Amino acid sequence: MTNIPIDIPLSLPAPDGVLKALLVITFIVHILFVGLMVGGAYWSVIFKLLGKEDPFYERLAREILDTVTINKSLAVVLGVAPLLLIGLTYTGYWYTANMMTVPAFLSIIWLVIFAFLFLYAYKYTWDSLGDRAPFLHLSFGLSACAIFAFVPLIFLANINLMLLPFRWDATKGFIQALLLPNVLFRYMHFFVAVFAIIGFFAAIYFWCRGRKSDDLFYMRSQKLGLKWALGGTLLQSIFGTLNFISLPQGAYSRTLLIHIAAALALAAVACIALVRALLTTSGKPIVAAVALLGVVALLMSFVRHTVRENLLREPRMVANQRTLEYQTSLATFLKTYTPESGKLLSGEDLFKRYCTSCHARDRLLLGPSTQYMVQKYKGKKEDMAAFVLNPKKVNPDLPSMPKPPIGQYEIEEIVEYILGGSR
Amino acid sequence: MDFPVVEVPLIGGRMLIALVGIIHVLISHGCAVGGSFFLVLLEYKSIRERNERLNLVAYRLTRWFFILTTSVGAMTGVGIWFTTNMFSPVGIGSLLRVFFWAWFVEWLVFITEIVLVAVYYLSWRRMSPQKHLRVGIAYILTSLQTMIIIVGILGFQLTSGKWMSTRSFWDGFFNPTYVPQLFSRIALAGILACAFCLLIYAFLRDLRDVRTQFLRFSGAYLLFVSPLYLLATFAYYQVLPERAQAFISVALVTLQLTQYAQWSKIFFVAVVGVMLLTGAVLFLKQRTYGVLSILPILVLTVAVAQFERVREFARKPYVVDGYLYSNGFRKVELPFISDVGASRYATWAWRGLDQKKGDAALGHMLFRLECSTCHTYRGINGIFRKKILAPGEEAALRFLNTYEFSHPYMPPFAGTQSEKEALAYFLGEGATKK
Ligand code: HEC
Ligand code: HEC
Repeated sequence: MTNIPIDIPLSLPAPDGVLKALLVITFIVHILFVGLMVGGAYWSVIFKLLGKEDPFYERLAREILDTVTINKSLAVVLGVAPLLLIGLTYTGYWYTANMMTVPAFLSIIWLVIFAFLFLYAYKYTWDSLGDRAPFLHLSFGLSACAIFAFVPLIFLANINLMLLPFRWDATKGFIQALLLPNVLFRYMHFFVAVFAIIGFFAAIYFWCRGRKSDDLFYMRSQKLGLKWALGGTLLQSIFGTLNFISLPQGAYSRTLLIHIAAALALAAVACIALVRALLTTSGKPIVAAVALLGVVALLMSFVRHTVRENLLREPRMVANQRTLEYQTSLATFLKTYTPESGKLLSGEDLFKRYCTSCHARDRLLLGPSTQYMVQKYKGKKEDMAAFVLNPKKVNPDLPSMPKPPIGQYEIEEIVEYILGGSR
Repeated sequence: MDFPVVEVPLIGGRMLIALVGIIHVLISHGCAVGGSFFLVLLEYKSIRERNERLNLVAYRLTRWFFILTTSVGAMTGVGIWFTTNMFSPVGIGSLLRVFFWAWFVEWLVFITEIVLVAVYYLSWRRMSPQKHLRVGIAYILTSLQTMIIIVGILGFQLTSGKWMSTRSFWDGFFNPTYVPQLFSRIALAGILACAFCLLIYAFLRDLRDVRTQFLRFSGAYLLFVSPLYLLATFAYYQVLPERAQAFISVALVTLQLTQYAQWSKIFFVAVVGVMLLTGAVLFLKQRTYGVLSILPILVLTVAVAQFERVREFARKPYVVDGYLYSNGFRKVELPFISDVGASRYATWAWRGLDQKKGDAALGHMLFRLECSTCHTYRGINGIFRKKILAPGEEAALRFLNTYEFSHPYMPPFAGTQSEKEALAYFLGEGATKK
């Protein structure tokens, strides 16, 4: 197994641990906004559909869509830092995985651009098309949702592929990467989390907005949000477990189990807080649940990090071995190597170096033969030197000659060699 | 050097990067950076003159800028990362290690910028004019900062200056091309914004009543900013290193058209000429002509493509000037590779090739490893269509022996003599088979 890339020979801009901590933190923030973006888009479509029966849902769909406008932009921009950091700390693994699935990976850009434009169309034609052509209008939102359903698959395939270098040989591309053990279950885990996140967000957002108003809309949407949050969190007992047991061999370790156990306990308490929040009107249980689930998210990210480190332990040994071999061989070689520089080359050598790819003695290559040059420039060395230093178009049947990268000394030697030597 | 090989059929990876890059520059310079000056100025004018309708024009224009910046602009920005990573993993990986903190700060500024754009647009009717203008000014300042940072990184690739010896971040950042490139880009952004606005305004039919004021403003604006662009761009050409200047000719057109090299500068004068002319006509006549709505943006798109192409080409054959070649080989390791052979550390480039096929397969592998970053087979810059190789294997070998000197914009061949012969065999075979 030798295709694990050799490390880049420049030092990291900060200690590895610092960068990885930064990766974990920036990634949580990014994924939170991704959740708001994807979940918000789905809500705005689902409740628009329900809105036919009940104007409450119509209004909810619209208000949530307004928040998506900002959240989606933040989701993208916030993703840049984790993207840089993962490139920095897992260089060989991350790049390689993406390069193996390159058509899918690069399609993310265009897909997301389209999704965003669909969302804008959905938003800005809400009044104008919503009644006249409801189907068309809804299809904008649906298209965005369809794209949002697909894009996470690409990321998840790549993240899994990156962690399994020993499978790189047997994996041919994106479709095969999708079939890696953990991808589909993690995808479900992700989507359930998305609905919990948007539920939470709605609960808090509408609670804040409704504090100074007695509009019943806020109360109702807050409760609805709480229900989704609770439902999503409870469902994770199934999907989280599936995700956990489908982890590849070698991912598990004791720290991992301890952290998961702690996260589960906290999540259980958070569920109780959520139930309380549903039963009362006070904001306190919501705050408690958010704080608890924040910690859970942190623990879970740490778990993911541990999985990465566990899985990459052996591949790293291979990579380090290769890097070490390469660097010592290079260093040994360079110790005895002296570049040929400063040496003055003869006219013949210079001609071979700079001209023979296009000129031969007696036949036309890309440019005319030297015999032709002798005929044309005999006794006119200056003219020839001037031409070569600054070639102009001469023969319309031939391409132009590019300016060669040489100076006065070389040109004199070369002209002397061609005109003198060919005589 | 040991990453999977990514080949894009027909157009090649560089063209793909260029496409994403050009769209990104148009939007990020034009809408995000340039938009901040143009729109805030327009808003200021409308407030000072108490012109409600003009204010509405500014608002409607801002909506489009907001949509474009937050969707196409932001995503192509990420897209550039995605694409360049795919085609020069070692290059971007190395740049990241030197510039990470600059990019990290850029990221923070960029988040601020996006938030400010959003606040600026979404709070238009909800804030008092004075307060809103203040948001606008904050938006201008942050968008200028994004430029200040990114130009340092771009300039570094071109002229790594003292970084080579000191390996210090600041030496890499404030390199010789920094100042002129910064000003050139800011001025370009300013013009682009105006061009976008002219185009969008053509579609805002219900706001035709204030066209005198709007067009006069745009005209004056163009007359003021275009000369700045001209000056800064010329200063930039002045400091491009010698090596780069010699190659600009090849960048602009193909080798066959070198004689048009001088046109490069004339071209920029022409672009600025068009802008000044547009400015003058708008300023004096204040009428919407169909051409004047679409022409500026078209001309500028070509100019941006050209400017980026020159910049890209000026740094050939390097990704990082004097340190790392475009194909991922480091300059110092070249003699070593030529000694032990490029095959020794190559694993990915073999994928899908039948090693039993001998020289043909070895040559193909070497092509992927060393040439495919810039060449396709028969598409753009297609290797098998090169006249110089047309005679066959012998010509190819002659080329490989000397191109390091005759064609210095390509990284020198790295490999042993027998590898060179294998590559020549592969090239000769492809070039003669029609
Ligand atoms: C990339 C290929 C290439 C290289 C390298 C090259 N030339 Fe040329 N050369 C040409 C072509 C093509 C022409 C024909 C130009 C024309 O007719 O417009 C030419 C024409 C010439 C001519 C004839 C001009 C005339 O008046 O007809 C001379 C002399 C010449 N080259 C000298 C040199 C010398 C000396 C070198 C090496 C320093 C060199 N060339 C390197 C391609 C090349
Ligand atoms: C840094 C990018 C880059 C790399 C890497 C590169 N080339 Fe090129 N090559 C170019 C460019 C640019 C041209 C000029 C295209 C044009 O004429 O418009 C070129 C032209 C050529 C030509 C035609 C030269 C002529 O005088 O017409 C040949 C042959 C060639 N390359 C072969 C190779 C081979 C073989 C390799 C790998 C060992 C290679 N190139 C690697 C960029 C590159």
